Amino acid sequence: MTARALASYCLSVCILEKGNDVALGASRANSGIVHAGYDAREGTLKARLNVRGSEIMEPLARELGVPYRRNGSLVTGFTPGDRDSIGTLYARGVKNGVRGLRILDGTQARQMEPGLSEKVTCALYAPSAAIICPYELTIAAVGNAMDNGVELLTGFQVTDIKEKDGFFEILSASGAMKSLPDEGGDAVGRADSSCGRADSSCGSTDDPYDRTDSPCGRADSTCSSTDNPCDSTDNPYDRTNSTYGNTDSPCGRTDNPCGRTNSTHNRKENKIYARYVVNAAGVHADEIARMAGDFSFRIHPRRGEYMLLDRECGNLVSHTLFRTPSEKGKGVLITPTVDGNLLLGPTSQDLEDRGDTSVTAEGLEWIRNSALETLSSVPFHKTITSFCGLRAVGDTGDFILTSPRPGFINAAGIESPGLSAAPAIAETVVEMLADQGLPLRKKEDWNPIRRPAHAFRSASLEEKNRIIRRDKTYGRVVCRCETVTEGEILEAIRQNPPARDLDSVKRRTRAQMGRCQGGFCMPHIAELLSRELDIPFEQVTKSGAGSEIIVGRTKEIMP
Amino acid sequence: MKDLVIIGGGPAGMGAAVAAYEQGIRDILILERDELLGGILQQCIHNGFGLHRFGEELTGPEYAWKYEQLIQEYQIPVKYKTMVLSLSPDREITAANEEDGIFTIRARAVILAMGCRERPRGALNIPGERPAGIYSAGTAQKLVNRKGYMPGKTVVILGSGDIGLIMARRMTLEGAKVKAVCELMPYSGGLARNIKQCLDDFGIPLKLSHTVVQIHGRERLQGVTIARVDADRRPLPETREFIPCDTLLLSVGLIPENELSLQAGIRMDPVTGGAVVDQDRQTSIEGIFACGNVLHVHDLVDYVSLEAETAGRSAAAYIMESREHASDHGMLLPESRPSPGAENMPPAEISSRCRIRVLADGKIRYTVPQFITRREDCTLYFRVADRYRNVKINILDGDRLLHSVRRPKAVPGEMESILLKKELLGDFPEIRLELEESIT
Amino acid sequence: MTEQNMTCIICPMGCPITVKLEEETIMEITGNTCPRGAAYAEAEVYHPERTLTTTMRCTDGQVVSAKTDRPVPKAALMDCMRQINAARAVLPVSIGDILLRDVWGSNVVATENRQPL
Repeated sequence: MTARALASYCLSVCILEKGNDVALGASRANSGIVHAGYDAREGTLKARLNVRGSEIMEPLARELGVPYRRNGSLVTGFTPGDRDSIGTLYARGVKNGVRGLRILDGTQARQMEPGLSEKVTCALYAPSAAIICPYELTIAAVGNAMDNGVELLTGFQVTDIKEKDGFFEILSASGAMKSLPDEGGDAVGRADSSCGRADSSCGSTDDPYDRTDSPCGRADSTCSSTDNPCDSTDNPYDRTNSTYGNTDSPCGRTDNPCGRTNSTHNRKENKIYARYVVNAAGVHADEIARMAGDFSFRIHPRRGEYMLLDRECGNLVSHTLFRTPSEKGKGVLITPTVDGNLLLGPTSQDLEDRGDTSVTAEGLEWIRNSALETLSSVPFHKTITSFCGLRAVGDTGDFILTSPRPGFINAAGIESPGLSAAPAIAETVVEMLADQGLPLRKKEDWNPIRRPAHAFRSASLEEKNRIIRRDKTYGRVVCRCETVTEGEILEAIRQNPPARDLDSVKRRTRAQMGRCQGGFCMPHIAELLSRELDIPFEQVTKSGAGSEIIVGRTKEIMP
Repeated sequence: MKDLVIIGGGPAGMGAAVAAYEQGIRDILILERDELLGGILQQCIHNGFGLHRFGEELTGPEYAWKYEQLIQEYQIPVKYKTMVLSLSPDREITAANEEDGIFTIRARAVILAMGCRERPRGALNIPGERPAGIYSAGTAQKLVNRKGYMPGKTVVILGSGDIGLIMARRMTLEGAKVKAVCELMPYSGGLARNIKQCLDDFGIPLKLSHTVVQIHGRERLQGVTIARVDADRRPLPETREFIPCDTLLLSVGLIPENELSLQAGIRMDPVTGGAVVDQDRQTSIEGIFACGNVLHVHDLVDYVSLEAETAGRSAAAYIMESREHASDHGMLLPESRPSPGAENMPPAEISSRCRIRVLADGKIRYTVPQFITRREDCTLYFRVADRYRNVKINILDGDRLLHSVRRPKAVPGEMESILLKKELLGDFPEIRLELEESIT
Repeated sequence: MTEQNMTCIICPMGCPITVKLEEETIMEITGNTCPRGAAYAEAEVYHPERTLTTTMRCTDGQVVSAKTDRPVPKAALMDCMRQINAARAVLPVSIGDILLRDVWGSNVVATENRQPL
């Protein structure tokens, strides 16, 4: 989101991402709720940025072509204690500036949401709460940033950050170690090895402002990171990055959004120079901060498991239903999704392992039992999948928006309401960068609009037929459960940020996300990926290296 | 306006098209989403098909070819790579393909023959990560048999449905090591002969009352933990066992693919997952028929063909009748025939008309058809809920026994049938199918 | 007297057959419901056989489905696979075309029609 905000200025910005796609951390798996803003205590960053984010989310979503629905939320209460808590939330919401809050009794709540259990005695109604798809929003923000000249380097796992001649030198994984052998063995290096798998996503911006090919001359580099709403900046001022620097005219929209392959992805970069770095590395943000010498906070992952029910069940509720938070936790939330499914979750369990997104039997059991307290019945046999996300929980109790040293900004500890706050966090980070001297000059040709790969599905019949006449691949339905055409899949592979594995296609188009979970269409999509990326079928992956979908060809396995 | 549109060009759709043609219907169109006819048969390269229907043992593609040749000979048009997007109660079909774009067709009669899909992993909620290497057995079958790709080298199969058993042998023949087939139930859902020739022949263990309780691996599957389950199908922690493998194939059930039927408002049977039909395989919406796995999951394609021929013939009769009425009265589509779900049935005009609901007792899970609307000989197909030996299948009108047959065994994996003579069909609103366990 | 129990694989009924043997000689076959079942049981005791269904790689990289046109010794199934894996079919092929001759006394024939890419 920060990268997208920075893309409107004459800057050279680059996003560094560890994974094979953006939005693989908390943005991939969270509740998808734009909270109204009564949850966080008044005066906190969480409170302020939530309310602000919630206000600007709708126009932002419209620009990015991301479905957004203001469906309102109900915090349901069962006991007199719950009623008191709801009163507290109401008062807090009013102080935070949330509009339209109302306290309902059980009958009023059931009028609004007929499926509610008879045991519900009171509820807090927040009409401004909304739902949005979190990974779609992130993908769209990065895509729009890229359309406006921001570069994305995937597979770039940051392993060290050094300061050199007024720039940050950001190094990646083994490649960087190889090319800089005598810098690899120091204390930082060893620290890195422990957080080697770290850095899910840190964006970076680069600013070739002293290069002659920069039409924007005086721009300064910023960086942005992706994982939640995070960013980082770097500057490919060093000639080792010339391939990368030269292709990128910092103010021009160099990326052809429809380009067959995105050149960024075929290059092996292991070193990036940046004037500014935004650390938005999600559950790894503290590891990245430590690389830059900032030991001021710690992040730990908190597991959140979810169950997703068939679209047949999306109408079961119309509002997002929360439980009244208590000492036992926040309780299960039940919400329709913008895609029409029903989402139940999350659990909440603190973990050590920052990569453990496994679903547990206990977690699913808890979701089932808790959901049945809120609603009188839930058709669990319509579950189509379960999944798990990791929230990046900081140790300060609030979002961590700090600058431990000039040019380095943390956007860390972005747990709930991180999604709701993301647009406002981006605004804040940009302000912080400007305060530190990053010159912000608007690009004249900045285009805030992005057309998503799945735009076809919401087109009118006449328009669809016009599109099919122009490009017949839109007449070929590949994913039957979600009615996704070959044209949409090809667009997802070609547009920014390009989908390069099956899961990335799924997140962009919903193909394989329906009730058969790709049983029918997966081989077809894999063939399209193989053809479009010009790689053998054996190299097509589910979600990046190591997740290849086949192990070879028949006739070649047997000794 | 077409006389007959058939949705799906698999064995059911082809069988129905051929039968309707042979009854004199010429204006037929098959809509097929794939680029060739045959549906799932094209990837079922094993043999065992056709013994009933053709008296010879055929592989899936060979069986499909028998019907394809007839389709070609009769010059029945097929639109390939065409996906039906919606179906309305007045039989208007919206579909899409590359050449025609999105188009609509109205039909005097529609036959639903969309087949079924596999239950995916998500529905099982197995704890763990979501790595590559977990496929439904049919997906693996397509990769191996149609595309020539190997999904993995060391395999565990969850579910002992026939596709799982067939894939255990197929993967073994191609050089993979199948370490176990786990079945949640205390018995297999597959045919006995497939256990023999697909597992026993290759020394693959069938672990009954076992399930997968944990998935291991983040990028690619590293292994699964399996455990025995108790009588309530709950895993027993002390029996947990880790099996290293790079592939987990799921063969945990098939679900009729009825999104279009639901959209049209066709009445469904919650047990079969398919439409409620009468002996003609007509659904609750007049002029819409269903057959094959979209109606209820069959274990043998031979029975799909039989059912499809029934549906094809019935649709043909319906079309001819509606044409007659159209010419007699200048009406396009008279509401003349009773359909099973209709709320207000007009009183039977002709004595052959009736409306008898067929109920199952629970030990018998379901019957197809669920309604009998004409007094003529009728075969009832049904499945039982558990394994039984030496049983009697009784047909009752209230407490009155109408008919009874003995069976040496009845198992859930094998569809049973019973012939109901028209003489037995009296003037009663319902009959009940009951399974009686004999004391022997 | 020894007994062998087996499931008949001739048709989907899967009859449970019992074969009584004196030394190596079959004395009695029970449980089958048709003569083919008895023949199967006898073969299963003396020289078990299976029809092999598989695919063959084509010269253009596709695969074509294929089977042995008569049963082959059960013990030779994997060896048949090795021979078939080493062979390449040249497209187009039609159902019944011989793709490979004399594999354990059987020919490998195509079970589908396939065109070159």
